[in-house]
Amino acid sequence: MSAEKSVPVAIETRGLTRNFGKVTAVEFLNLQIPDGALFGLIGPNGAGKTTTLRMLAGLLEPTAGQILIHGQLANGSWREMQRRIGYMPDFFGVYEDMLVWEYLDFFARCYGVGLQRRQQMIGDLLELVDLTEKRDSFVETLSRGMRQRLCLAHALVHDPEVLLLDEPASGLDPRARVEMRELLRELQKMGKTIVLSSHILTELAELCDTVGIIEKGHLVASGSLDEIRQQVVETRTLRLRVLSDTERAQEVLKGQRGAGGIYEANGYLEVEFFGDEAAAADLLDALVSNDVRVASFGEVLSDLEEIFLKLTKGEVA
Amino acid sequence: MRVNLALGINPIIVKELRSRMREARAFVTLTGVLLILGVVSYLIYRMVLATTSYSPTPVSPQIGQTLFLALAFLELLMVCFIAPAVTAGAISGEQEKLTYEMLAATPLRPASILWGKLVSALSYVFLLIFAAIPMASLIFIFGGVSLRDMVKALVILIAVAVTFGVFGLFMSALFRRTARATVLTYLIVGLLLFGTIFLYTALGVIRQAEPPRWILVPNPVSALVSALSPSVALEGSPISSFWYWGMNFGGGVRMLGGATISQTGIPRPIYHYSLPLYGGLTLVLYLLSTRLVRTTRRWHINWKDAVIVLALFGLFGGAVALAFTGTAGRYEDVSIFQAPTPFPGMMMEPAVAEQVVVERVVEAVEVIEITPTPFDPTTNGEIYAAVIRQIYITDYFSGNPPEKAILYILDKTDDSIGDPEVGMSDSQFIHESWQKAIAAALSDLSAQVRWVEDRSEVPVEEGGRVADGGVILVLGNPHMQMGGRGTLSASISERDVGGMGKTYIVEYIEGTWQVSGDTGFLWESE
Repeated sequence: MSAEKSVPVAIETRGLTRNFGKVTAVEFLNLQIPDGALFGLIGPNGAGKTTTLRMLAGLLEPTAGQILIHGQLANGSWREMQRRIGYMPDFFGVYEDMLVWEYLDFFARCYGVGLQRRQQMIGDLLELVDLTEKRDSFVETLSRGMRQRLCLAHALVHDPEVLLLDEPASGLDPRARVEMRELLRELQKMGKTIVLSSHILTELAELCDTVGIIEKGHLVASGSLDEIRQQVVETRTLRLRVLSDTERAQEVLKGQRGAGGIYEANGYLEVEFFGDEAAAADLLDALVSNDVRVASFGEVLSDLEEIFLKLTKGEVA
Repeated sequence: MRVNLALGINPIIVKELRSRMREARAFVTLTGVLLILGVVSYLIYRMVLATTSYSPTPVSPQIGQTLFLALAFLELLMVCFIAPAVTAGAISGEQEKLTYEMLAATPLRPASILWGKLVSALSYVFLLIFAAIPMASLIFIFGGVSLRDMVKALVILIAVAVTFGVFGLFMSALFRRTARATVLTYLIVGLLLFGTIFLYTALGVIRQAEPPRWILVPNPVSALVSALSPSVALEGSPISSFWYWGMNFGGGVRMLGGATISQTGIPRPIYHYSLPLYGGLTLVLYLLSTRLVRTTRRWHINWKDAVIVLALFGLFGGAVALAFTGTAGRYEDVSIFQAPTPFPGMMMEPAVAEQVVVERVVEAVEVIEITPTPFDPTTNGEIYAAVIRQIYITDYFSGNPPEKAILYILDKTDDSIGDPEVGMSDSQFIHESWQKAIAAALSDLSAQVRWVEDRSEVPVEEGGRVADGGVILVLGNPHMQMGGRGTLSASISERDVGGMGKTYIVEYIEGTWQVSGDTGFLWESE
């Protein structure tokens, strides 16, 4: 626990471990998810994402380790914890013979929400997930995307502080994905801490401020995407466009600190670069002072998928 | 506790009832069940009417009793098959539809989920039971059934519904697959219903002795029958024919009730054991199920749980013990595992060993208050003579008796040769003066009358035939009622064993005693 963390931690796990027989699904997982964060748990299928989320939701008992919600130890007092957590499983069924409002009413009753708040809340939630018109329809008439939103709404009936969403966007068409993303942003604005899982990094990249990459039950990397990129990628690529005298430019570049191989592609020069930001500035300085006319200068960002593949080695597919 | 107060009512019950009662199926089933019960009741009513159409006794109570037994039995079968059906998918259905996780993620206690499922499922079964009560009340129009019987039947129906419901729920939670849970539940229900009866019968036949009664304890049909049997006439009434016709396992309804014959007292009825068994089973299975429905810490039992469980078992055991000691005076002190005290009659030589074929021509027998009358030579001589003429000339030789014959008549009466349902009284000696009166009344016959003390006095040819074409006659006591009407049994035989026997109805018509018919009872043997 470092003093520099001023934001309170919503969810913390310490040495969280879960075995299924001889198979270890999650091994010594240490997570710190700040309050109000939109945290993405990424990993290939079978990496332990669902197991982790189910343990956080109190549905699975950890073999070892501790879970703290807002600094409070959750082990053993799950009944109380579950009132502060909303959980949406990756594969879920709906009670098809119920009306949409009854469905939400049922879960609200399960969470012990009183009658008056229930009526108010059902209307609000249906508006939030854009299902107001479907209020009196049977659940079985809803499309996949609508069911997904209804399931999200069910996790919100008791106004939880923490939302655990297991693959909330899986099986959705692009339009529904966008809607889901906006919905999650909305919820984050409402001050909820959201943990969601996915096996597709790009899906989370635009949405999450922090991600944890998990493989074979281990947390391989965590932090903001930029931080992870720096951790993972030792070589950066600088791309520049010079207006004339390409050979002179190459000569200048060769002499610079941190510069590696130089390639010419599509009228651009690409330089393998090992240095830090200052070295990059020096490099540009050197070019300009040697009268090379530089039209553009920048860093080629590694593809997220590339990072993901590098981290997870594709061993679990 | 705070949760429960806020909830008011178990959300599972609200949800289940909403879904179930919205479907047309719930009402179609209810209508169908009532319709079947109605049609069966009507058919049984007609059946009883038809079988008792010649009966001079009031048939109304018989109709009432038969209808009641039939309705109770049908309802029991229904409960046995519907109760597991509505609960066997309760937990596994949620797991198969992937909705259980979401339920488990709520603060709703797993025990509440289980309780909600049980209450909502059973409330539907109870609806089926209670919906039939108004129709069953028609029985009171006919009479013959007390309110106490009806309450007893209802208690047993509800106990069976709860037990089988909890059993289905337990299987559902255990197997987590609706199909498997349903099949196995029905298999065990079938074993309880039919397997126990089969085992009971088989053991009885194999051992040639009364089988142990405890085998029938788990059988709900036995429980029901044993609860009702004291008030319901069992043999010689249309009910027994209904049971024989319905499910003849060789022993009929008495056997189903595990009724045993004892000379020393009334044995405790089967349902006194069945109800505690069901109660205990329900308690154990329900408690196990509350553990099975948990997603975490399934077998983690803290001391508080343990104390509650122990208290429940203590309470239950205490209640059962109290009920047993409280009623101990009423029943014979025989354990259900012990063989019943044998009936002394079974050890004795049967009264008429030669009776091989007993044929009951008409079930309905005129049962009248009969007392043996003091022997009056003139009147009774005439009555005996009329009966001897009837059995010897008309019934035995079809109007063509042999030219010369000797009638050997036993000088002691024996009522066991006739209809057992008509009065029986002790054997008495036919005084010589009466013998003369009888012989005089028969003097016009070509046959000669000889009085013998014993069958051994009758001269017999080889092969057992009575010498010189003679016959042996045995007479019963005349049983008279007011108004010049009575019954008298007689038997006739050409051999030292066998023959035929009947009970005749005699009437005083136009100044003489005449045979006006018989009770319909007839035995014949070679």
